[in-house]
Amino acid sequence: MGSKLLLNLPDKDSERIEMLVEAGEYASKSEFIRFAIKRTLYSEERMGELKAITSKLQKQTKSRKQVKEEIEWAKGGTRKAVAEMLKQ
Amino acid sequence: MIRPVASRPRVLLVDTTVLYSAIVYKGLENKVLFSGDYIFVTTDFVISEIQRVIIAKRGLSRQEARKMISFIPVVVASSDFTQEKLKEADELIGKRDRSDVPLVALALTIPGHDGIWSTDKDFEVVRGRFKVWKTRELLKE
Repeated sequence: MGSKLLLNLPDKDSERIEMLVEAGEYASKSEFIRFAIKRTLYSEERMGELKAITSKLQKQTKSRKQVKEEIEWAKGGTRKAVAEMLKQ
Repeated sequence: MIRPVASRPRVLLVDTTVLYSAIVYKGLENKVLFSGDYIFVTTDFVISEIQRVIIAKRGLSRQEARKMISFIPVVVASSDFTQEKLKEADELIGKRDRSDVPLVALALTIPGHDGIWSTDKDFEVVRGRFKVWKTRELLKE
């Protein structure tokens, strides 16, 4: 058994959800809400993992200059690959 | 079926300079990337560059790098998709920097996008053709 929620939605959003239900995209307004919650929770979980990795990378960044040099280094591979593709 | 939608968010094509900065530097680029206000599209070249550099220069494992890239809120277009526009793009920007050719090819391929987001001065040469957004302009929007 799940828990019940009582939601107050702006009329505009509620009407848009009803339109989607009428169009057959969702079986009911409840199904839409369940889907929206699941998707948001999944996205939050991914965002948490992404933040953990980016924060590790950000701690390593000493200056903008370092970032620019790394970008320049990375672009070398693309220059070669593009030149090869243009030869074909 | 016509879906009821809110006003369309801007679709911006993003280059390595801003995307990499947004990931490794907690600055304005980071704010824009995670603002949720835009739809970002990039090329698989940009993604490969970022993957290469975070493995080689920042010590992330291949697995960590792949995972991180899969979580970034950016749509990635394959190079096959832009292949036909590669020569035209090379004529536009190739002399300035060949590494920017794939993103310009993407700009020529995608209809109805809202411009390129970059801080790279090389994109000045395509300003007449596409809107080139600086990071601060996007924060003011």
